[in-house]
Amino acid sequence: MKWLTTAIAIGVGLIVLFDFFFSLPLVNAIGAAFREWTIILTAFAVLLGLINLLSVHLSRVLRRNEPSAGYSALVLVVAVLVFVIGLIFQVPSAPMNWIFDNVYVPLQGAFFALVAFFLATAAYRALRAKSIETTLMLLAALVVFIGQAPLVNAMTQAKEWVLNVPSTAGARGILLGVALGTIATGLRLITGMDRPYSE
Amino acid sequence: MTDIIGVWVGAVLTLLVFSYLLGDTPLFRLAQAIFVGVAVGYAATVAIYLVLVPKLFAPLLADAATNWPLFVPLILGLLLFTKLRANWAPIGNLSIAFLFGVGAALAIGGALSGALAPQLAATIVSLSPAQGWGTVVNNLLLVIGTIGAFLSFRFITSAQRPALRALDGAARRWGYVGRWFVLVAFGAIFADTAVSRITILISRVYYLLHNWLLVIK
Repeated sequence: MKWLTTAIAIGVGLIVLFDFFFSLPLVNAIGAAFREWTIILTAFAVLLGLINLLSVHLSRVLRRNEPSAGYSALVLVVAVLVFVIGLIFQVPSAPMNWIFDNVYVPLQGAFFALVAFFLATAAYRALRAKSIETTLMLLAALVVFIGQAPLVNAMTQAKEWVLNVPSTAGARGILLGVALGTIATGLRLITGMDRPYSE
Repeated sequence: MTDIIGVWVGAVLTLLVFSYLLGDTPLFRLAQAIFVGVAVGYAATVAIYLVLVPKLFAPLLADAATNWPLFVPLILGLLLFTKLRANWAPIGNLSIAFLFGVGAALAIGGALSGALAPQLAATIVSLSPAQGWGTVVNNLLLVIGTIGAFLSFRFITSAQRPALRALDGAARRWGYVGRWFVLVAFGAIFADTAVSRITILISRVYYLLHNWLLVIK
């Protein structure tokens, strides 16, 4: 079975890679089909993940003396309820839009807003001028933070400079490293040197 | 009427989440459970109605003879569900291998055309004094910083030959300077993230005061 999975990964990977670099009608058509199939497979994978999540919560509900059983039951009830409403009315529809606008968006917004408090405490702990590096980080954070408010024109200009010159240089160096790392990892997968799908 | 109920539901849920500021309260956990449940139910419906039905089931039901290649993703997709049982899980590796193959190829293409090429092109900047000394200094800083930041992630042992060792030392020192640029970038990203989260916090508070309590216009 392992040779088959490796063959599939290498074959499919090479065809999609050739499709990316060369203009060959047959390869391009197969590459486009593979990309479409990947979207379909990803949807199946999402369903698989959701089933797994629900089974974990169901096992918690069924287990005795489980302290978070009530919350797991709530997860199950809400998930099934939203899923049934979605099956009946489909997406997009007025009931699903109502759920999205009045339940999902407020919850997501509130969770993200909560991060502001955690960031404040993290900044208090982490941003201390102990060395050149931490001083630079603190200064950059302060300039960008204060520069967001249109109070002093010089601060706004300083923020623009920090974002356009040193911050861009640092982020670009990281991006180049990430890109090279991605290419190396991708090549290792396509050539069969790494086979995480066989585990 | 549904608008009023919607505002009340949104406001109560927002307050449940904000109860975390008092500690890990049962109200916050309630909000967490509702959020996970809604997200799961919604994601499942989206996966079915926006992907599986239009891209797979509808074409197969309409004309299976013409769209027969779609049986391949259907079979691979169904094989994925063997992952739910440990004994059958290896069969699902066929689908995982397909996803890895396509994913790796797309990642290589994306990294080349979306990150490497444009970022390198953007780093090739003019140092001509004709554009003003301020721009020249900025461009120089950009190049020194980009290469330095890149070199700061260089983790290799020192070379043995004297010439290579000198080169290695220069790269190490340049990388040390590059780390300063990386930390400035981290600081800027941190501040940007903090500002965006504060903006969301303000929007939630505005929602409570404007839409729910009708205190401000």
